[in-house]
Amino acid sequence: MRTFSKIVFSLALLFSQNLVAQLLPISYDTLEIKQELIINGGVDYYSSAIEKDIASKFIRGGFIDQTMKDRSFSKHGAVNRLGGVGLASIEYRNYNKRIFKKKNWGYVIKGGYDVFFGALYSKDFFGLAMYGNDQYRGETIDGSGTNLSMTAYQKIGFGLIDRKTKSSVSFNVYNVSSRMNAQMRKFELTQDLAGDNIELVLDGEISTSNSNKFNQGIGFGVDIDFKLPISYGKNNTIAFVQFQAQNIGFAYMYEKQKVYRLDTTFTFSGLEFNQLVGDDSFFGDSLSLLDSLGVTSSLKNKTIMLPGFIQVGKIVDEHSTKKLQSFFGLRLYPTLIYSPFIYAGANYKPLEWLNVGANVSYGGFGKFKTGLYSSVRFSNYSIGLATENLIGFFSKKANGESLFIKLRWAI
Amino acid sequence: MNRIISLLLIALVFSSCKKEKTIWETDWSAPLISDTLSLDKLVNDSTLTNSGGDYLLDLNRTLLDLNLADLITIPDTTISEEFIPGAALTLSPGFSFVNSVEEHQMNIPDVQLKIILLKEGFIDVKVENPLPTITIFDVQLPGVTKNGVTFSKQYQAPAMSNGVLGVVQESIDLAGYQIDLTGITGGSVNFLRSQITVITDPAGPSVSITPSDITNVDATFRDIKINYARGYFGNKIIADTSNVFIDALNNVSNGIIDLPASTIQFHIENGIKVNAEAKFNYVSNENAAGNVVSLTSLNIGNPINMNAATGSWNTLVPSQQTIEFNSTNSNIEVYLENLGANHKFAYSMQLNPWGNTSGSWDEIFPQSKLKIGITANMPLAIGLDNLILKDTFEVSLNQDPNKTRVKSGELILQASNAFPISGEIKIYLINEDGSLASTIVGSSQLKSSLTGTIDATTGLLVENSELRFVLSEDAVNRIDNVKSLVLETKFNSTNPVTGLSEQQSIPFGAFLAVKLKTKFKTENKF
Repeated sequence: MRTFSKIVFSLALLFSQNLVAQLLPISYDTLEIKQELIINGGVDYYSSAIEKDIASKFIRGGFIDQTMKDRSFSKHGAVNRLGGVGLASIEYRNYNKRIFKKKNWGYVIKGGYDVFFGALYSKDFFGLAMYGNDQYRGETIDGSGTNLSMTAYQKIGFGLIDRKTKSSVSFNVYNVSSRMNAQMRKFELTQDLAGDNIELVLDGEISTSNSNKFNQGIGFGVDIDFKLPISYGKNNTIAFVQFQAQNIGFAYMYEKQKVYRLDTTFTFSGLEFNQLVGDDSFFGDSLSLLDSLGVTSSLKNKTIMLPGFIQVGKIVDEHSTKKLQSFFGLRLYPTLIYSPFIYAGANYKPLEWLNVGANVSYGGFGKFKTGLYSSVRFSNYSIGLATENLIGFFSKKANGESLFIKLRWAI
Repeated sequence: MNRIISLLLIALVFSSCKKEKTIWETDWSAPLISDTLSLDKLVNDSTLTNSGGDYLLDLNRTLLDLNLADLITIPDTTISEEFIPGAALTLSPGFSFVNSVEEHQMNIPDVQLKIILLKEGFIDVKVENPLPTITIFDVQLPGVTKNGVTFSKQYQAPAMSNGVLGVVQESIDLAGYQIDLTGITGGSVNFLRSQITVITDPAGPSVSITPSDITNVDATFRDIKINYARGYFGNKIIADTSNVFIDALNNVSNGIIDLPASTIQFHIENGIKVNAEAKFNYVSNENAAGNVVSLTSLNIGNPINMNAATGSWNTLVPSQQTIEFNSTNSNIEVYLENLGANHKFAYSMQLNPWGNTSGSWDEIFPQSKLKIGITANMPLAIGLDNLILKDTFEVSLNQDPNKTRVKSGELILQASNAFPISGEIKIYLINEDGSLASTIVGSSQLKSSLTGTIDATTGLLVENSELRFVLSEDAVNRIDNVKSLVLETKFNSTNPVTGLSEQQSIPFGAFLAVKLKTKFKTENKF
């Protein structure tokens, strides 16, 4: 089965063209064309410590056994990250229609669906979630600094694109369909060895959707894609640097969000018998568990920052005479969950219709990763497949999985 | 292959599509209960005293407590007098046209009173003048006195005008008044005297009066409460049945209890200066199994003479009798060892059983009472031989198999026991149809303090135990149908040296410190 998988993957590489990974603009075609339709989709999740066999269970389902938990747990350090993106987009570019007479600008119409999720957490937090509190008797479980975030949104946009440089700017409207954010400035659960007493110290806030409505908030943002030629070396060789910003903007959650505020020190060593019976008993109607824990809740409208990113890097020139080209760059999300992501790789063009490439990267939601891609062009059509986590395809011990597909039609 | 296809599908349909739930197991532990039980906490209607380092139970209950207000009540009574002339007359100014001395019987059932002293009460007087001139009413109640002064009031009623009678009304506080109820002759009972005169206005005109002109006087005694009464209080019989419930004993389902020699005393007090006769018709109890044991003794069913109280007012000395039931004159131990939860006491008290032998000189004072009390003195030494207590709790333990649920677990009971009693604990999980779903047996005994060591803090023998109640996966899987939980404990007071069940004294300050903790495995589904 594994051999068969490799064959299929190799064939996919063989027949792909004009490939990009999730966000890596690895080839740049300066040929002037009239129209272009691009369909792009994929998922990429990874972690600094959680292995694929656990993370994949949260996507495809299945049982997480003790071995899986132990292996991932041993990889955890003091600070850990987990996250991912899922995206699907369609974009139409018309270079033929000039929006302004004096400018060589066409237009862009785009739409898409994006999910961003991430977590910054401690080893203890993972242990508590995966093992429970029993193994921590006589210790303090420290989950302070835990930060969880998830945003799902849809967007439609309209913009301008330079006919020659393919640089573009588009203005987008967003519908935020789901959102969750949790910040635990302090989370300490202390238990004595006998399990007789527990103390919980909490200081944090959890904000989540209060309804299942598809439309929770509206946002406005911008996508920018500038490609700049830079000459270097004795021969004034031209290279292209891309500055890209996507989904930079804000959204207003017009559906009220449920906000839980936690600020308490709760100690518990067991109920007394007279707390078990009577109207004021622990289980009576008059008692709220959340109140006892010092948790307050409220409904609020919130303004949030969209999970956009900025990326700067050297890209591949599709019409370069060199068969081997380098690419490298830096990607930033404005959140602590995502550490600065750097990448570098090489593109090889053995045939006119074929590109293959490999890259290494570090940061983001995880640590070191390798990527592989290929794209194939047939006349006006091209297809590409890519992964930003090559090991994820072959090893259960990998820290994530990644696969992207891109279809392009251009005349 | 599957991974690639799956990822491709995810990418192509732009969303994840889970075929099954993510499942993992976690182990949790938490304290549930931490408390110390002692007899001081459990017993709220008894007195526990220290007798030579052991507990002594001194139980007191009052079965009957009647005071003067319960025994003699004076109903509201209205004295109404109408004066109708026999023929038409012309009345000159200052003419006395009514001069009446009457006696009125008060409706006081079963009691013949001669003298009463009022603690509180009122008289509402209303006079009606039918004449077109002012009339003067002089109302006297010759037997109603305060500090030796007879009740006497004079009312000036306005003239009748336009067909409307001239009316005067007044309410007078009677607190502190004494009422002589012997009537005009002085030999009657329950009779009140009145003397009423009415004259026309001496400064007014002459007026005519006809048989249709009715002069009326109403005097209503209301809200009377007495401080003292004298007379013949009748051959009254006060009979009742009292129940004393000891709910905890309803949970005893089996076993034998051995109690030390005990006594129950009934205390009868007669604070009325009247002879009486008390009788206990029966004393019985019924246990949780429906077994009824009656107390048998010569003191049951036979009358007990009660002398009249002596003295008066501040020197009143009630007559008292104590009837004791002990192991020599009754089956008291059998009675107590039946562990009845419902005790019934049927008794009666008859006043003047031989009639009016006091010459109507029965007396009752403010502090006079008829009381029956019960006292039980028992050293808290108890022998338990497989005594089983059962209690049932309604529960709802539904779990959705498609959501996060408890998969298995255990309850851990850690106890420090200073009672000389051991216990074996079982938990029965009962289905809605009454069938047994599971039985959870404690991993070991709750050990008796008799096998323990001296605790340096309390100076008591204390034994530590740890009992585990394992909730297996199989039991959890069947928990959805469980609607009740039966907690059964089998108690024994076994002497560790002889191995026999013996009476053991409960040491003063005995306690049972309990820590109940839980460990459970959850199956998390996401």
